[in-house]
Parts: sequence; C-alpha cells; structure tokens
Amino acid sequence: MAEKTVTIQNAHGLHVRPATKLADLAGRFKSQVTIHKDGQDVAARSIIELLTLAAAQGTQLTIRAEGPDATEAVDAIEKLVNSRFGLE
Amino acid sequence: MKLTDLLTRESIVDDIQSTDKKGALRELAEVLRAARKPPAYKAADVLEALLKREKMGTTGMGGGVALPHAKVEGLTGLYGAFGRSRDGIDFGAVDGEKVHCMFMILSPPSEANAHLAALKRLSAGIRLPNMLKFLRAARGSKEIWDLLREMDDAVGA
Repeated sequence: MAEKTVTIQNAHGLHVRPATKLADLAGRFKSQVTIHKDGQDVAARSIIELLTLAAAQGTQLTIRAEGPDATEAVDAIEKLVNSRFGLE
Repeated sequence: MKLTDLLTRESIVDDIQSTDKKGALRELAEVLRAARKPPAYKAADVLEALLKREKMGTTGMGGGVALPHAKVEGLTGLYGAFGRSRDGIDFGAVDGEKVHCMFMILSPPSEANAHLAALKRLSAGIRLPNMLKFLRAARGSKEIWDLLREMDDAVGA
C-alpha cells in the first residue's frame, strides 16, 4: 500500500474539470486508488464520487493505493494535484 | 443548497427536443430564462459560456449524466435546470455513452465554494441506487421534481 497527503491549491477547488482529470489518471493504474477526506473515502476513478468530496482550496486529501503499481499511482496523482491539475 | 432550491419545477424539461448537444444546451439556457427570469440574463450568452466550457472537456461524466455548467457574470446566486432526453445526446462523454440526464448549473464567478457544494449535493444524489434509472423512467416533470426532493432527503443537510 502507498499513501500520501496533498493539499488542493486551485482557487476553485476540486470541481468538474480537475475531478475528471484525476479520475482519468487513477483509471490508468492497476491499483485500487481511493481518496480520503475527513473520514470520507471515495474511489478515485469515479468523477461523481470525487465531486461528493466538495474539496475546496486548502483542503487536505489523502491518496491511498493498493496494488502492483501503488507507489506510481500515488506519485502521479500527487504530481497532478500539485500542478493545480494543469489548470491555473 | 438543496436541489429543490437550485432548481424550480418550471426549470425541468422532461422531453428535450434537440438531438445534439448545442441544441439541448440552448433549450436549458432558455428554460431558465423563462422559469426564473434572472436579472440581466441573456440565454445566448449563457449558451456561449456553456459551449466554451464543453470545449475545455466534456461534462458528460458517464452513466448517461452530464453536468453542463458555466460562470455567468451578473448572477446573484446559483441557478440550475434539468433536462431529459429520451433518445440520448452525444456529449462526447467520458464513457462514450449517450447522455439522458443533464443538470445545468450556472454560478456567479465569485461563488466557487457554493458551486462545489452544489456539485456535491448533485453527485451524492445521482449515485443513489437506481436514481438515474428512475430519472429516465419518470413520467413527466412532476415525477422528476419528486425525485429531486427524494435526492435532497436522502443526502441530508
């Protein structure tokens, strides 16, 4: 298992476009990736589930992955979040 | 914000006539003007903003649902509309499936967190078991309205 905590930096938070990018990226790995916020766990490959987090700017999220490429998955998602999803 | 505050019964189109994305979005932009008459609202400008957003990436998020949305200058709060297409519309959705249920959200540019809260409530409602099936099978806008109330009740405050 791999795990990392990140902070949402985008001014508009985890809205539809970043959620779509995150779900798409998570879907490319064999590992099961989940995102955690305040005791809520969602599947990273589901846009709808990611949107239920309503993660505003400054929100801390924990990325967790289990599977053969868990470390790569967590690193890639961390990079995406820290790049502000390439949107700003 | 409850879905039944975001939308009104009059901003539900239970049978979208258009067969393409642009036409469907135009119907939604126009029904909102007719139903809510937001101040300084221009359906043509809203349509343009919705289409511009779709160009950045589809809002068709799979499972037959799309959440077309845009930031609209001059709005004093969030406004929503719902459209249902019986035959389905090609939205270029992430799963390649046609879209049958469209929830449009318009927000003032300064309301990022209210927009996130609306997305949260909508997505939590949509993923309730069978909700999408019920929305597609509903007979008329009254039944769709009742389902939105059910979504609000199930999702809670």
